[in-house]
Formats: sequence, C-alpha cells, structure tokens
Amino acid sequence: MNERSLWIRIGAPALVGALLLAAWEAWVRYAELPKYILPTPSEVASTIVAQWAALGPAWMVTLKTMLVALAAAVVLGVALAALFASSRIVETSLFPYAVMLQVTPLVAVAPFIVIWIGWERVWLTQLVCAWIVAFFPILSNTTMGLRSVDPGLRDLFSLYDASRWQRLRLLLAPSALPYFLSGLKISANLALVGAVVAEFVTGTQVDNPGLASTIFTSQLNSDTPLMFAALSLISLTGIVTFFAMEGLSHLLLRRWHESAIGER
Amino acid sequence: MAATPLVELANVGKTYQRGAVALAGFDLRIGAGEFVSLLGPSGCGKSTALRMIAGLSQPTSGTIRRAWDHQASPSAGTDCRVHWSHPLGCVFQEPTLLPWTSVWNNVYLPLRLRGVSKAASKGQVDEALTLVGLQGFEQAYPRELSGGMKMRASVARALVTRPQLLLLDEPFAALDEITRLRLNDDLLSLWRERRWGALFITHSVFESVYLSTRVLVMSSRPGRVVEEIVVDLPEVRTAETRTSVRYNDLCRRASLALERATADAPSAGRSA
Repeated sequence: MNERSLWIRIGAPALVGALLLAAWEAWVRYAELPKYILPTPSEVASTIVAQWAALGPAWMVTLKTMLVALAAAVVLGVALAALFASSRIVETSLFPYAVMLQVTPLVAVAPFIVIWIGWERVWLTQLVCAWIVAFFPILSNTTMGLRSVDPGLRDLFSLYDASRWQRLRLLLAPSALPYFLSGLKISANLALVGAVVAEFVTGTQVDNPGLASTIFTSQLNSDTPLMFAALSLISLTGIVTFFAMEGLSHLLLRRWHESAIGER
Repeated sequence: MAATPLVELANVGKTYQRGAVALAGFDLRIGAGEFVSLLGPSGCGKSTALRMIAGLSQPTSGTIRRAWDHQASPSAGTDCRVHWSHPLGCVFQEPTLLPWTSVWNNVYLPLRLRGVSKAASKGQVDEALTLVGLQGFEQAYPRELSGGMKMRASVARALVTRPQLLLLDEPFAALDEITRLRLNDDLLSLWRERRWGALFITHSVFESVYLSTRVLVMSSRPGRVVEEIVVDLPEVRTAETRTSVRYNDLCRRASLALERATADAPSAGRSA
C-alpha cells in the first residue's frame, strides 16, 4: 500500500510530464515552427549540453545569490524575531517597516539599490534584492512561533528556575521550529524569485551573468533555445529547493508535529 | 499537624491589576506528610493559591512561608547534586509535556534544568517512571500516549526530584471517570509509600474526601477558606470506602459547606 502510493506519487506526475513533452515535440515538428518561436524539448536539451560552458557558471551565479540571500535571511530574520519576541515595544516600533520592505514590489525598489550599491558591485546588489524578499516570511513566522509557546510549559520552566539560555534552547527554539520551517519554505523559493528579478534589473552589463541575465541577453539575440535552456534550469532549481525544504521539514517534525504526521 | 509546616500562608490576598480580588484573608497550612484538598467552586481562586505557593505568582498582601526557603541550596562543586531534591513538584490541569521529545526526556527535564547529566539521572528517572507504571514507554512521544498515560508522565516528572510538597491543580479533571478513579487510587498508594505533603485542588466533593486527610472548603470572590473538614477515614481506601457510612457522612458535610460557601457569594461569583 505504502510502496504503491509512493509509485503513484512519483510515477503519475512523471507520466504527465513525459506526455506533455512528447506532445510539445510532436506539435512543433508537425507545425514546422521555427525554433526562434518555439524550440522542441530535444533542441532545448541539446542546447543545455552544447552551451554548458556558459550555462553552468551562470547557474552557479544564480544559485549562489539565492543561497547566500537565504542564509542571510535566516540569520537576520531569526535574530530580529528573537528581538521582537522579547520586547513588544521593539516589535511595535519596527514591524511596520519590515512590512513596508515586504509589500513594496522589488522591481520598484531594485533600481535604487543599484544606484546606492553601485554598478561595480553588481552581485552585492543582486544579493540585497534577493534578501529583501526572502527575509520577511522567516521574520514573521519565527516571531509568531516564539510567541506561541504553551503558557503551561513556561510555568514549568519557571518552577524549576530555568536560565534564559535553557529556556531558549529547550523551550523557545523547539516551539518555534515548525513556524520557522514553514517560513523557510516560502523564503527559499522567494530567494530564487528575488535573485532572478535582480538579474533582470541589473540587465546585461554584468561580468558574471546568472541564468536570468542569460535569458535577458539571449532574448536580445532572439536565441530562444538558449532562453528555454536557462529557464528550465531555473525551474529545476525551484523544484529541487521546494522538495528539499519539504524533506527537511518532514525530517525535523515527523515524530511530533501534526503537520508532518500523515494518517497512520 | 506537624510543628513546622511545609507551607504556611497567612492572611494572603491577591488583587489583579484590573481590580478583581481573587483571594482575601486566605490562610493555609500544610504539614509534612499531609494530603490536603482545596475544594471550591470554579473561579474561587484555588489555582491562584496554588500558583502563589509554587512561586509562579506573587501575593499582593500577606505572607507565604515555605519550609525550604531558608535551607541552604547545595553549593556548586559538592557532589550532592545528583540527589538534590527540588522541594516542589507540580502537576497542572494539562499534562504540559514537551511534544518534541520522548517520555524519558520529559521526566528528565527537571533534573536537566538543574544541570544533572543524563547518566547520573538515569536511576531517578527510571524510578519515577516505574512509580507511575510507565516502564516500557520511555521512548514513546507524548502524542502516542492516551490522556491518562500523559498525566502519568506528568506525575512522574513532578516526582522525579523527590519533592517534599506535591501540588496538583485539578490534574485528572479532563479524563474519563474510570481513568480518573484509577489514577486517584494510584496517587494515594504512592502517597502512602512516599509521604510527601500534597495539596490537591478540585471541585469534586467525592474526590476531595476520598483522597485527603483534610479538606478545606473555599468560598469565592474573594476566595478564602470557610470550613475545614478533617477526614478520619482509614488510610487505605478502596471502592468499599465509597460505600461506607463515614465517607458518605463526610461527603455530605463537605457538600453542605460548599453550598453555604457558594450561597454567601454574590451571584456573579457563582457563574464564574
């Protein structure tokens, strides 16, 4: 039963994907569409292989922006959440600005960041852009998690004179973990979105182009297969990130948290 | 009653910030080895009294004296930490277990917060688990246990430090009748064996008489003790105790006292 449902969960979407790709391939060949309008999946695949010398490093650039931005979002988001949770007045004073950072569309803010950080530090600009969008879900979820500690457990820790450090490590951190992880899931994919948007904003004049810069440049050259090649690597990154976060969350919560416990 | 009580509350009052008076002129003494029940309608300040004894809440007037307040705590470096006993154990209305860790680690928590290593705690933790009949469930997580077993784990955690006084705040109220009777019997036989002082909070007349050596009936708003009933039943209590004349007589007295206490209070207090 379990093994069968696993096969369905992996097999069914794989089958749908294969059918869609086959239909796409067949239709483009039948309609004889030129490849600058729509290349076939096989052309995209061969472009990835042929252009790997450019695509591989570009992938690394985007991946690096995304991962460093995510790491910064985790560190600063958790630190600020701890500050918010320990003082209402700090939270009340700063939270509206954190919200402002979140609700202002990145594309509108990015040009300012480009000017302030400067063209000579393009990667840093991209990093800051990706960080801005990735930061908020971690901050707000972790803050909520730190505030949702069971009051009975708080009493228990007071009864036994727990130190601040013991409270943090043995009570607050585990209580906030499920909230943090659901923030992390959102942030991880937002970090990718942020990295891609930032590359579009910084445009073509960069020394180390990422995948989105590659799309931008190849659009100017009407190199549609290369655009598709870069796009498929971006999608792949997003999918892998999503499942990695699901897996991490399941691994950490499976023994105790309702969200990770399926029907038994 | 023992000459020096474990805990003594004298003329204690508690007024909340918004002006609600939870307790006024509240007196209570618990001697070593006594099993005292605090019986009262809901909202009469029973839990407030318990929280103040536990040090989780401060009185706004009056004094609380605890026998262990003047005892020197073991100095760092002495090797008595393993057998150091936190003088208080507390069982709340809910099991309040850490959901993310095993039963064993939950029971180990009070010792862990004292800095006692796992290896040094093993004997004490295993003993507490055996006392409450949870041997074999050490590695289970709280969500895998039934309501009654969760409460057992909670009792084991309260007993692991070998306390002098055990505070129980309507601990089994949320459980079904059969489980509750069973846990009460187990609690009593543990008490006969170990003889910690106990303060048991309840709104059940029958439960209070069955368990205690003394029942204190409280009035509400403001809460204070209005009647004391000494329970002179034999110490070993069984299902037969519940049918005995003396038991039923004491229950009737407690019921009447409770009725008087509620009737005195303003009607708002009754529905609280």
